[in-house]
Amino acid sequence: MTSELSVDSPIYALLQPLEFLNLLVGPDDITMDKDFKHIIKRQWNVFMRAKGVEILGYCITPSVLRSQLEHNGVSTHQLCSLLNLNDKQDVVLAYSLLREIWSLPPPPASCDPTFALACRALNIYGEFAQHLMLPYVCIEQDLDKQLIHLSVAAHLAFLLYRHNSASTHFMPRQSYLDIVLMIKNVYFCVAKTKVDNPTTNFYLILLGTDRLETFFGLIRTAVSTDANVDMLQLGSRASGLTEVAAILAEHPEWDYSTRRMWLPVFSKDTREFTSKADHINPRDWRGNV
Amino acid sequence: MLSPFGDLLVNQRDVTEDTHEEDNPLEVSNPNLHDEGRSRLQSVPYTHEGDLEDAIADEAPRNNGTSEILIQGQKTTKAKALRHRMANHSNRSSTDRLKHVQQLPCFDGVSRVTDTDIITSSADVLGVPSLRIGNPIAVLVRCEGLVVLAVAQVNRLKFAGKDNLNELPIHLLADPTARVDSQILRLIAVTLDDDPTQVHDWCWSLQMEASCDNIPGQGVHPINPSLSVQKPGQPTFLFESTFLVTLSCNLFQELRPEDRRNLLVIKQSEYFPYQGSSGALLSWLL
Repeated sequence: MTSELSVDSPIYALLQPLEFLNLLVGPDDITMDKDFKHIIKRQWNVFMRAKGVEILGYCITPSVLRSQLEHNGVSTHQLCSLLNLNDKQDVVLAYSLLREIWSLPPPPASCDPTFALACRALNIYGEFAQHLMLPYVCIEQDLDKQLIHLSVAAHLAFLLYRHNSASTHFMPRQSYLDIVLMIKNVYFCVAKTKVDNPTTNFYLILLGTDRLETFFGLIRTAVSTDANVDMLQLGSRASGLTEVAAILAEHPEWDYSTRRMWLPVFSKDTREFTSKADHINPRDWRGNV
Repeated sequence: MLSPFGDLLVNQRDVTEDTHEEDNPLEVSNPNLHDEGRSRLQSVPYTHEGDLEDAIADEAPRNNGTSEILIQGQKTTKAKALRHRMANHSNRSSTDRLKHVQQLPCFDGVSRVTDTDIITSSADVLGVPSLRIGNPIAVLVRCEGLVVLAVAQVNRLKFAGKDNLNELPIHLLADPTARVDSQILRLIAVTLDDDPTQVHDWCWSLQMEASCDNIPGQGVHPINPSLSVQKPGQPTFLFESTFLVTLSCNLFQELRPEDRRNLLVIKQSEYFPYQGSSGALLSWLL
């Protein structure tokens, strides 16, 4: 990102009214993107830090989080898996933890003061997590709702990062930057789509590196027992695997995807999660995008 | 593959089956079974020419039972219910590549036997007094070269190499391996709204100060302050100066010389060390 978005750019008129949007772009108005599943995973990792997460001045350590979830009826064996430090790459685990956090009710009127404060802090974080994740898992959301959610998430992240100079006590700088960059990129991509092809649909879930990771997985499968792929193997298999990827894109019902990249679907009507779809793809999306 | 000798084996009967039944070792060793089996084969002649599995499926009684069960008032399939129930019990491999190769499980089975259960188990029916996460404590810290009292809340408990315990019996706090992480509470002068009885002169403002990490358990004193619920949904703690002064003196007297040198250093802030409404530091500065 080397220069401000040019006034002559066709997307300038669409993005300029957004007051707090950073308009720095690279060549050809390119912007940086981060994969949303990685963002989700990192949020889980943040909660597993020994020093915890400082939310509006209150430090939420794994122990505090555990006691809050326990009080909300999360079973012990479920807590053991949700707060397990041995697997930092499990998207589903991260997703489940964030879902439990935003499901926490407000503190009861007659509870312990420290417990109530921790609960309120987690409620605010839950709001942030919900706004960050719903655009990617709630398949009934329209594009405008998705953008509103992401905007709220960016503002809440900004508030929590800035409040009381929490900074890295809230989350690592890189994580915060990645969230903001991801949201900024969404707005830029929507604007570009509106200019380039205004009649087409824009699927938020196609941003990120899912397709690339899937292709990487196919290559790893094709080279069988080798841990990594060399140039020769890549050259000989890439074209064939591209065809495989194209076939799977044409027939999503054949594509079981990877278990670690599976995300449950959220229904806005029932406010519950459903496993009707094995994984979310454009075909499942019911919102007006 | 299906024609090792030129003829397709599908739908062909093995001729030796009927003529050389004695080749079956089970039947040889058990003459009763032999007779019974032969009589059954003789009474029911083999007539099937198609796929055996299809025939079994045709003959099998139809399963009229339902696979649905009720879980918390909601109808769901047994398979789904079992999957949800066992989701957190599965011993799946770690996604970490190195651990995966070592066939280490995704979830550590050893640590799943909760650490707290081992440490806090007690034969006492009423349980032993324990320090729990979120409990208020009093500790002495050093700030700007002075030893001052800090009222904090417990964020993390460590004992004997175990981390993130839910609670720790108070008698184990004296153990050298016991460590407590906490965050200081911001105390301010009490108002009439917080304490109409005017017995207390300090209250927690529901704001937090700096964190105090890795405090030795022996330097921690659990306290049980009075509770104010004057503001709905915002309960807070109330303190008396006399109590805090006495507590500070006691804690200071219990400190060994090496403990005094190793007191945790906390940066001064607008509200810490605690100050009275006049701005002067409290008398329980040691």
